[in-house]
Amino acid sequence: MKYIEHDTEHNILRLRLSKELYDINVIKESVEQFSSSHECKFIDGDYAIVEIVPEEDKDMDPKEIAYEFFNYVLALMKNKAIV
Amino acid sequence: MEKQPNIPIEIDEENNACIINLNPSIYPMEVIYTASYVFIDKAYVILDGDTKKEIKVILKPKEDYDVEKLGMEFHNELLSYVLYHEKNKQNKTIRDTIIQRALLANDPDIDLGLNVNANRSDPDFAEIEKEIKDIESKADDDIEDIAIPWEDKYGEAEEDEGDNKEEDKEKINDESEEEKSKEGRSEEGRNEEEKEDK
Repeated sequence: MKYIEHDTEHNILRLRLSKELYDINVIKESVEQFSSSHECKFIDGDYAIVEIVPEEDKDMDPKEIAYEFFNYVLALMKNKAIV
Repeated sequence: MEKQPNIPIEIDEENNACIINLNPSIYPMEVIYTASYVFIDKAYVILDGDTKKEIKVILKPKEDYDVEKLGMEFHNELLSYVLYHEKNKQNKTIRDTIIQRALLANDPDIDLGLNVNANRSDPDFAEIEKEIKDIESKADDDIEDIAIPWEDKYGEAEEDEGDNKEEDKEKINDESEEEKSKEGRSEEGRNEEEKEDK
């Protein structure tokens, strides 16, 4: 699986984040934050998988939401002085 | 995907992104995180890979921007932070020593275990200590009579001040009597004027 996959059939974005590189608690917090604007789900495993259902009526490219999520996690890690 | 000769940057033309492969033994993780954080304003940053073997940093510019240039700029940023990180490590001991010394004590006899007094065998150090002791012993002699209380030293001056106070009181009494006599005179003048009017 690549780091971003877009299941166009079910309209689900799947993000794969390395648990070594990203703090799992920060990923969970980011999922909570994104839940206010998108339907989000966190799946724990060898990697942290985040499923996002992008809202169709928005003009934004669905993949851009995924990229924004990665930036959000990194910024939150920096703000929390984890990195 | 094109791989640049001798440059560890891969260009992903399909996604308009560049993939930078980094050796974690050269670039510590905190340096990679810091450089990545700097780039989140102008690019989307994704970290991937293995922390022991190879770290992949994927950069996708947010706006129309040369992807290869973005990758090269990232390398420059990495180098800048590696240098900062190394200097920070080198100066850590001396920085901690200075801060702890400043915060905890001014007494050179207090051994903080920081190797501050490690050169006590140094002849210069012995000379400075001797000078400090000389100054301290001279201070005990009290050459300038600093240790004598003010009352003992200037007791007479205080008595003079007492005399002055009595003189001041007498002056005040005289002044008040003069004022009273003036008031009396002015009242008499008024009575005479009234009589003349009548």
